[in-house]
Amino acid sequence: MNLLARFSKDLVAWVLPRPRFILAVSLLSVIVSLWLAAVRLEVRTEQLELISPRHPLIAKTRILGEFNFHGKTTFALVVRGPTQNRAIEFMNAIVSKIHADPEHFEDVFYRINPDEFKKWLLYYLDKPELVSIRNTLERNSVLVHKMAVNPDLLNFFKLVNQDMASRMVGEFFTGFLDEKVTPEDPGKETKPLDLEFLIKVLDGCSGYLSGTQKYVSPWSSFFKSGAWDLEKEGYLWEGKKKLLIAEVMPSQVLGEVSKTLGSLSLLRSYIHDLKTSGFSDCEAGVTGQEALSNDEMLTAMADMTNATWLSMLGVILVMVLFLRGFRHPLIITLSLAVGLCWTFGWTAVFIGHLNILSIVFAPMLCGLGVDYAIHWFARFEEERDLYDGSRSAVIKRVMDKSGPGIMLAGLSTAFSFLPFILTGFRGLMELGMITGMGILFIVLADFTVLPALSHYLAVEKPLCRRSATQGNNRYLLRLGPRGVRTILAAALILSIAGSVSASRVRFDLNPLRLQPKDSESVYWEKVLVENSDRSIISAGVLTHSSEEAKTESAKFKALRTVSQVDNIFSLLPENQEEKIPVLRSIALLVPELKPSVAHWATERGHSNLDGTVEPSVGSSYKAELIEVLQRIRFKMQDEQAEKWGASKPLVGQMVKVKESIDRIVQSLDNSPTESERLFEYRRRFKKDIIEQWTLIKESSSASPMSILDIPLQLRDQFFEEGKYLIRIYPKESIWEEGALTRFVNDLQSVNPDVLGDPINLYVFASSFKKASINASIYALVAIALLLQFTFRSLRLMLISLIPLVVGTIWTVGIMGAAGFDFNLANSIFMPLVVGAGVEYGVIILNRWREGRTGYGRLAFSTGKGVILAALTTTIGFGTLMISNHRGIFSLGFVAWAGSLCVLVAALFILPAILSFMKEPAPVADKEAVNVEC
Amino acid sequence: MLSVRVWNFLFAFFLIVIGTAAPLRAQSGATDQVRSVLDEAMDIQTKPALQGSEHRKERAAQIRKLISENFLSGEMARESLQGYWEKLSATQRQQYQALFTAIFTDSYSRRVLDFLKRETIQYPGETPEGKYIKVSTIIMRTNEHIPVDYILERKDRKWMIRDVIIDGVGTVETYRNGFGAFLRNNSFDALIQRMAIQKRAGDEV
Repeated sequence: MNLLARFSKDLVAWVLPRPRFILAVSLLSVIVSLWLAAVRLEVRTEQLELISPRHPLIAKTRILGEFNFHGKTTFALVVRGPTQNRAIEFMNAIVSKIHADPEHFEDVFYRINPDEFKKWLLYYLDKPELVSIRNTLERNSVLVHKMAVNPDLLNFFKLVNQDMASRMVGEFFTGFLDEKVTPEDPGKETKPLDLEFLIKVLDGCSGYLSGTQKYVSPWSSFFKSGAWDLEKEGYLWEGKKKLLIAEVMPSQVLGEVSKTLGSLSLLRSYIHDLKTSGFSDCEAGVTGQEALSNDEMLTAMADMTNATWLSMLGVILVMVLFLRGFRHPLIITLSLAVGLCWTFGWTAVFIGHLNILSIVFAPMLCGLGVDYAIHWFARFEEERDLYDGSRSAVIKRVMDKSGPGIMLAGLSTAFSFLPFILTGFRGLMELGMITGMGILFIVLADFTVLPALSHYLAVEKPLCRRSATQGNNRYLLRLGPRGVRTILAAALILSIAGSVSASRVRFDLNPLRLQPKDSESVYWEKVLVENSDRSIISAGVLTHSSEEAKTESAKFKALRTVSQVDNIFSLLPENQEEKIPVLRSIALLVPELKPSVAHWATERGHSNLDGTVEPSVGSSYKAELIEVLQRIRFKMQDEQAEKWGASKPLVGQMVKVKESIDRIVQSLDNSPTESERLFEYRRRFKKDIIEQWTLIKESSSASPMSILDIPLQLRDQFFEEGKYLIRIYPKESIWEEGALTRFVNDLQSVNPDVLGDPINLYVFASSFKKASINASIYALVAIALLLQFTFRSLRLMLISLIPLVVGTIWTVGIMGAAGFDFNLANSIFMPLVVGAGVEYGVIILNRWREGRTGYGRLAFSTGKGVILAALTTTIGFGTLMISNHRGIFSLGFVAWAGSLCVLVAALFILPAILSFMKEPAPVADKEAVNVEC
Repeated sequence: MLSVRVWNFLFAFFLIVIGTAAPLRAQSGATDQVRSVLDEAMDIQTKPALQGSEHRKERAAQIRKLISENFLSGEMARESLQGYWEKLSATQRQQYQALFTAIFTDSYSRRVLDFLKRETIQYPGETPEGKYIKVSTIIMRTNEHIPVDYILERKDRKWMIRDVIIDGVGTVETYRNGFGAFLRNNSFDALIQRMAIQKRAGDEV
């Protein structure tokens, strides 16, 4: 303590004669600090780097990252539409915008080119589906063969009509041969007729002729399989085909808070633009790890800015109320501001960046750092009121009397943060250094700038000064023996209750659960989890052979927390060998196209093999088409069908056929320009059939697909340079409590070298928890040593720690009662409260050591200073509760409750305990003056 | 005075002219016959006194009579069992023909009752079909054109219908295919049984 007293004395002796110089140097240093911060300070969001830049997971994660588009950062774009077609339209529209903006987007992966895998299209179907296709081809063999010879629209309708006529006449006259007829039951329809395919063709034709829709291939309804619509193939659907995904690769822009933030904002603006210009029925959003990090950082930064300003305003307001004026709060604020600016400058030079942990330092310093100036002015007002002398003289007295105590309090608080350096957890180390240095800078400012400003601005002579005796008799607290016992008993009871409640508090290590609920990336990640088979977040394992990949995959798949395991072999069709006989039988059912027909398909124009040009649609073609459609229409006897007991769906289909035919006939009859459209539709129809026949023939004759046949864009995601990647998806949402831990533990039981975002999250959280606990222990030890060194008394050192210990028990008890767990954000509560808790104990103890307090008493100015300091600290932490980031909110709540608990413990318990000790003899004060008002 | 040769020549010429004229007269008769049958059917269907479901049975009876008077059901029956007819006994043939006639008449009259109204019918023309004549008709409705061809044979100075081709699908061919498929997996008696059940069902409705 003597060391601190000497230092304090020497410093004030140097400062007081040269206040202008001090203020000028301060102003200059503030300008330089702010400039340095503006130029050099950036924000880093990499989670693993918070642990250590040399953490082994970082290197392994980079290897894993090579499988994700060669290590490029990506956003996951998720689209949901009322229909699959609509979602595809939206996706195509936004991809166009992305491709048109190479400045912000490097690339986008949204579709595998169907041409690269359509040769094996049939292999991707299930065996029952293949059998169904074969049966359909067998049933319609006449149609299939005749269309192969003449794949014309008119021919198609003629064949359909012919088939219907056969069915109709057959039903009229020989239907009784198919039924188990009894006199009671003359028989019903046994073979249901399905007109879906015909309706598809008619609707497509009708829509095309009227110009309301583009050509749509009808073959999916012919084969009752969605696989035929190649327009829809190759897109990246989630398992249930409700959500369409794309991976967008943003360009990285240096110098911004986040290198990809600009691209993220632009992508979201594109989504908004599309929704307001024709796609109001679709929803889309951006998620994925990069977007989650960006959103978290955005929210945190915005909230921190607001919290800092609110904190400063709140602190100023409290000070104005307590100090009953504006001048002293102004001086305090200016001194605090100088200290903060020095901290920013130092951070910019020696650290260079902020992270998601250290970003909270500014509001914390506002709350913590202002305390010393408050204690200073509380003593200043007491000394000014009691004793005569100039401002400088009063300042000197304050420095002599309270300076060492304030300096010790400041050092204690700094020591509650600086030991973070020992944790080895980089994020905490940086937080500790910045906040610790920040406290020291603020204390320095309070010992230089604050006295210099007070020399000019402090309120000097009040109207009426109290007598020294009267002043010395003002107490905030006066406890008699009964009061002491009551307080100690109450403290004990509350501590026991707090301990019981505190036992409910757990560690929730999932950083995803701290994210703002209304953040877009959080929302869409949850949509993915709820509406698909899996999360966008997966773990990964690298293997060195295909056998190992298959073996490991099987082991992972057997785990109860795993929903899906993908490897290179997942991309291949299943059970290919089993499907070959069915495929070959399909190949036999599909005739070879005539050379002229096959040639037509490969030519871009309308020329035939012999060089003649295909004629456009003439009036005779149109007339023939109308006639055959009308013949088909006649067969749609929906009223009769209903009477004969046909099923309602069939009757409905008949009505639809009639309506479609009426529309087509009306279009063709009314408008001569429809001929051109009819010609075009006819051409597309022909091309479509030829492509379908060719596709079926090729696919049913193809050899099974091998790894080398997989499109490169997909293959690279699972196989590179001899390494096979296995991706493992969690069954439970890793957002939910305990799910992340269960998933990671399960995976590591199979292979401890598992990697990926879930592992990173888990390792980060575990390391952080360990580091926080260590940081608290180191801080406690460091402060204990400091106090022991200062007080040179074990008893006093332990007493000064009482508010901290009791306040902590009460705080954790409140957490248990309010349902808060320790999480990655509020885990740093302990070091924060250590600093605040020790500070109040040191201030009160230091005043008691002056020897003029008395049994069970707390001097008014000291109590007022401590209360004001606690209130400002509370406001400084409490403003964090405006944050939408749930982690920062919980930190604000826990720290706010903690500072109040520590305050109550310091104000009441400490004087009660000190009442059992013999007060030191008071030092004579020669400058005391008895002056009457 | 003309010589005998000239008279012989003229007589032969006269015979030739009469001979070739007869078929010409016969052709126009087939179309007229079809027209007459259709007109009569439409009259029955549209007669005010026979309108409504309460008169359906009366209309049905009249239609059946019209069919039995103008269709060669027996011939149709024989042709429908092509390949099997020769193997049947006289009793079987008789039984089969009777059942076929009843079934066909019933089925055809139902179609007429259910579909035929006062129609606009075009008669594009007739074409010889071997020893028969095919009369083409098109039922012209607003949005529907239904081609129905009739194959007629001249029997006892009257044109009789021996087949109806609805939109390219022949009735006799349909029966032939149906019976043929049935008899590949079932016996003739089973066919007769099925036809009998169908007849009973038709009688009761």
